[in-house]
Amino acid sequence: MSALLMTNSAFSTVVPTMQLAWDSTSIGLLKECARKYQLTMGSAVEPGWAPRAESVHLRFGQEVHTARHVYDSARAAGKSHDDALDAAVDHALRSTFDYDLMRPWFSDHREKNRFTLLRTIVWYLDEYGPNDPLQTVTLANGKPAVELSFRMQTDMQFCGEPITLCGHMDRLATATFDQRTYIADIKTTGSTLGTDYFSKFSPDNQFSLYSFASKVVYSQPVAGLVVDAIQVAVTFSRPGRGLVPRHPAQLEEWYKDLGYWLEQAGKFARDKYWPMNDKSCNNYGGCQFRGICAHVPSIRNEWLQASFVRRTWDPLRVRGDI
Amino acid sequence: MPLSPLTEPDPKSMDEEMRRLDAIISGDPRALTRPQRDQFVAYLRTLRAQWEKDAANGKTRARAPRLPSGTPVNLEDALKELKL
Repeated sequence: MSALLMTNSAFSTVVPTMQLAWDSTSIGLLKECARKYQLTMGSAVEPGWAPRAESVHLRFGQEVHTARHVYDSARAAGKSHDDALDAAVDHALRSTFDYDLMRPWFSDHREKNRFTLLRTIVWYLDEYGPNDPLQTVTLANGKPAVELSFRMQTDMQFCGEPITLCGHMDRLATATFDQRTYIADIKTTGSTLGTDYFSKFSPDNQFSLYSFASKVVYSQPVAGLVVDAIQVAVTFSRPGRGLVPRHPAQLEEWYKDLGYWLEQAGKFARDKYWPMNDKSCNNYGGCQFRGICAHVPSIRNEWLQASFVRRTWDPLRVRGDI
Repeated sequence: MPLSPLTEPDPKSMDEEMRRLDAIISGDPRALTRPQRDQFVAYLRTLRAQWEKDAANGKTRARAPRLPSGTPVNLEDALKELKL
């Protein structure tokens, strides 16, 4: 196949419908619903579909992640907490401003809008910035260990091509209380931060992948995963922190299960058919493709074109340094 | 000029300081100065201090962390829930 035709490097060149490089997003989609997976991911030569309207939750989360990245970079460069916080706030102000329309990012979401974003950044970094027991690791090149892209080859193959696991971890940090290294990830939520909230990460596909990969891809042993959760409400943004443990036997089980899931993916790719899991349609407030799948198959493409846009999700696109 | 103030949903709840700062941060961020951003950060810190004070006094609507059984972790809240 000509490389010019390839729109997504994560897919096989032999069977273009088979993904070979898997991140937590694509594995999660596959586990949730094969049809949703295929509609979102597409193939090597055909991009997937994404809603025309921007997801306020996605945007909000990305801005908070970026703010932490900017803050850590400034701190690694020797800036004080206040200067680094200002860099993060300045970046957030600029990235949430539409310079064509000369107006700020508009969100009519009560909890997630520009003001609550800035409040979240300041309250979170004031809490977990200057005196954080999890100090961001500084890499040999002097940069902070944030937005770390990883890629690891597995012992699995498809038609002779190796299967790869990949993704991006938020932050690698050393704990001042035990001098061990942890992976830290930020989540924003509307939920109250308590036992119930943090227990939802065990089991959890994303954190199992991160824990599994961290044992392999980093030179220093990783003790575990920490979630920096921020409850975002109309009048407050409350940060909280929880440990997400994984026993080696749990990671082995996750990896074994993954093999079964990817075998399924191989069959779907060969058959060019991804069955719908109609028990997932109403999860998390409803699948974005529920309205599409509700139509008869012959007219779904027209409906997709009307309310979705083509988008390539390539897990192999690198974000930061490793 | 911004087309709409993008801050708290209810403009009536915004005090004068918030309105003034909102007008500043709703403009072109490239024109903002560090002292202006510092004022905004200071305002957000004031809000946090006030919210924490209110939370400590049970004056916020934030739900207390709950045990898996649904019982609030905070004893005072638990007693309130039981109307004791």
